Amino acid sequence: MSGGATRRTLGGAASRGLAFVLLATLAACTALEGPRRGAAPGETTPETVTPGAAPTQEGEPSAAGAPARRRNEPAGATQALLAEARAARAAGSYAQASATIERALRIAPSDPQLWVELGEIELASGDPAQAATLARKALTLATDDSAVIADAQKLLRAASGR
Amino acid sequence: MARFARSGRRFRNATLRYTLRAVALCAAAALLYAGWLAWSIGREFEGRRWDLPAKVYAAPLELYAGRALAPEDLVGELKRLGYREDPRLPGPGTYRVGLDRVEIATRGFDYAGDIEPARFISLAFTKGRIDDIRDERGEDAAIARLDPLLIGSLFPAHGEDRLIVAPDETPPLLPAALIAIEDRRFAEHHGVDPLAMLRAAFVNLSAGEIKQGASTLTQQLVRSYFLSNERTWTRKLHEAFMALALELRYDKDDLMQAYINEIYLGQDGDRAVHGFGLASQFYFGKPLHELDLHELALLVAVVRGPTYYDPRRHPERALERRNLVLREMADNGLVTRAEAQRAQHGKLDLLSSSRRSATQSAFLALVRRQLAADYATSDLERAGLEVLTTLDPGVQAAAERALTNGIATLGPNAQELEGAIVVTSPHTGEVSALVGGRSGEGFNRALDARRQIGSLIKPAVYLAALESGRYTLASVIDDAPIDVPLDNGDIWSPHDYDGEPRGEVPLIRALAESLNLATVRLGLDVGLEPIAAKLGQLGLAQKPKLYPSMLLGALELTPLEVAQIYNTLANGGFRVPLRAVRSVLGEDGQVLQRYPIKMEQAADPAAVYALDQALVQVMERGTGRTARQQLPADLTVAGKTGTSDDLRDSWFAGFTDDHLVVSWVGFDDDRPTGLTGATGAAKIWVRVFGALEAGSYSARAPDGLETVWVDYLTGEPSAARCADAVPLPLPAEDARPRSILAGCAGESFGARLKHIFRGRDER
Repeated sequence: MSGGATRRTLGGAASRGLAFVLLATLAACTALEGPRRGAAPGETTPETVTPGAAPTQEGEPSAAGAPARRRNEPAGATQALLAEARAARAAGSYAQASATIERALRIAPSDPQLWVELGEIELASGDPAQAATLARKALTLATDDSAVIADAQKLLRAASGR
Repeated sequence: MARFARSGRRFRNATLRYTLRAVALCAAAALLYAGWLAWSIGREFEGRRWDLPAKVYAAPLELYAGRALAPEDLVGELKRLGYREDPRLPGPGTYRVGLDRVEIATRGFDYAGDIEPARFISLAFTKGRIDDIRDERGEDAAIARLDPLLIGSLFPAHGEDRLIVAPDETPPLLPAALIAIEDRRFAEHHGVDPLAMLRAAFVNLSAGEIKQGASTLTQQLVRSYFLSNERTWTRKLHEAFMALALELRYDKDDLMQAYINEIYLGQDGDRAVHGFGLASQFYFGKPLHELDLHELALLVAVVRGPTYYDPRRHPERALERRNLVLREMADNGLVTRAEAQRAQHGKLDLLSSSRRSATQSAFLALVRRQLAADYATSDLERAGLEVLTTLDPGVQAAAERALTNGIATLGPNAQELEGAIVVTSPHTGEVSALVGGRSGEGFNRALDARRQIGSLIKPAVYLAALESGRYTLASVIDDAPIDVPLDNGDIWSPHDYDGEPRGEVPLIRALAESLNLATVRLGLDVGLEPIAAKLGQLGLAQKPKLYPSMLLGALELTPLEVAQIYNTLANGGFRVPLRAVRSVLGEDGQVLQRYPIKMEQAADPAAVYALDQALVQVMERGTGRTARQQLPADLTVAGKTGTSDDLRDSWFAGFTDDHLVVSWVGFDDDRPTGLTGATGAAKIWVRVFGALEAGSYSARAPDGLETVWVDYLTGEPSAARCADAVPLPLPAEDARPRSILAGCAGESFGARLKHIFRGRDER
């Protein structure tokens, strides 16, 4: 009986007035709920156009002095990324260096020089076991490039503590 | 009479008392109820504001001289990214196509702290490759990236997806237009608009039903929180009341922004599209702030009824309402008449559904799985993360096409056939594409279908044999009937696929032709334990039961698990865990996590090299021959077929330096398909491979191996000139004594000598 009455009361036109009375109560209720949170969070700030700000160091397009490659691989791009990664490693930014070298590896996955560099980064950042594995990986790819083989073997020795 | 009256009075008194009590009770109940309503709407509002599903991006397209990329493919990618062709290049996100160059004003992006600025680049092409790439000063630029394609978000299981936009990413015209079209007195009212209500009530009374809504934006917001669209007075009252409660607590700007991010604007399969940010991507494939006037007006038009005005299903209706919106905007002085006029002539300009890829949900499932190790589901769905993945949209599109078109060619039962494809980059272990079935939704077979792998297991058997040091690819084994006593006393008698034992064959031929009897004999000699251990090193997580039938692939794996094993084979024996995620960024763009390349050596490089050469012979002479013939003649590719018992599963796995592709075809209910690996999955595989830019498989022989010509049928030394001669890498000590007097099989000694003295045949 009283449930039905409640519903009728709320459902009727009188509820408008009642609702406004209740608002006062509500103001108190809602005020008790705690402080408001800040504005809706933003997304990553979009980059603005900065003419002339090249992100990569420009490599020699012909990559003079780079070892011979099996395929027509884009030496300019990988050499530029390799230089960037080496600079980041020298500056101690190992995560940045390895992200950059991985970018180069996606372009030229069987370039042993890049794997040696990734191994150097791992060694510098304190993972000699990983560095040794990457040196061995480089050696499987570099069977006729004496300079890279020497680099990989040096890395392997350093990583194995020999 | 008096008695009657007295009792009536008593009755009235009692009634009054009861009524008063009832009213008091009702008031108390109503107060409680109202408090609860206000509390729940407040909670909902606060909760939703922070409901930010992680945004998931594909790998960015890298642009550099020498990259294989046709100008039309670049333009296709630019369109997918929502770049606009504009000869003036007015700002980021535009491009122009000249006679010999494509010029782009890129958008820029923060790749996990590695910032790619928005910049101008100009590219020239020759023969489907980027010839050179220059910056705005005309100087050579080594490399540039486009912004990554947003492929989706990790929205919660209840199917609501969002792409939250902040006020500064919202074009100011949008709230103004919403006010003009949906709720003119938004700035003045307190959540409900009694004037509008009266007007609506009049219309509805005269129509005898609830026809016209007078909902304010706040009321619409409340309605969208509670997902109910029934038109009853109680609901209306609740809604109005909650709107009042919201207005009391939040200011108009907050409510407007919540509305913009919350309102329902369309349906994409089982995914409800909420908010203008996501709707902008869903309908136009570009960010909200890049929309043109006619596009923005369309979104405002759709608000009134996303189903009724669905621009893809009912383009005319949608167009008509869009133009109405444009006129109203002009009437309200939001845009000039001329602007509105011009926009009215614009087409709908919708992103065609073919450019949206529903199948990416299969890849997103893999992303979720990889992230599940490090993140709680609630963080992925609410914390506003950005996930940079390894997906290559071009490869994904090729794989989807290959599956759909390829299955259709597989005979009369093709209608119900299902399939799955996994594509990886072997050296880095990145998953570049994943297809979980013919339709993008539902059961994800690439991740979850555990099926017998059949002969796909054989490379592990042969690798273990080669590593044992007791076998080379030229060693001879007997492909003859064999009875294997089992532990339970039964006898297992396997047979070859075509029932025809070949007799004595070299390992190379047994693997290339996938001979069962020879493989069982070899496997039993090597031992089940070392083979199972080898599978584990190659990347198999589960430990297989050591039954002899394991040697023929009585082992149920998912396509992704198969891809992990073959990825190690394709990567020279180095196991790198397959990855779908490169890094995860927090809400403010800082790197939360990177998933770098980590490798372990899983096998002897010389044995893997020899095995991979045998897998090349599978393609040249064995079960992969037919597929091989459809690829360019100068491409070297390695692969293996797999067929389970009674032809229930058809598999193919094959690779070059750049890609590993695993394909599976079968029925969901496991009934026989009548397809072998070669007649089923290989046809899908070759379609994927044919569409990919791929260099050859090109590993180099490690020290200690020598490549020698051997007769494919017998394993005897052979001269290179012979029809059945195959080049095999053999350990140097096995190789030397063979090479001098080699002739062809069946050739007389005299004929051999003649060839030797003429000296013509040494290649």
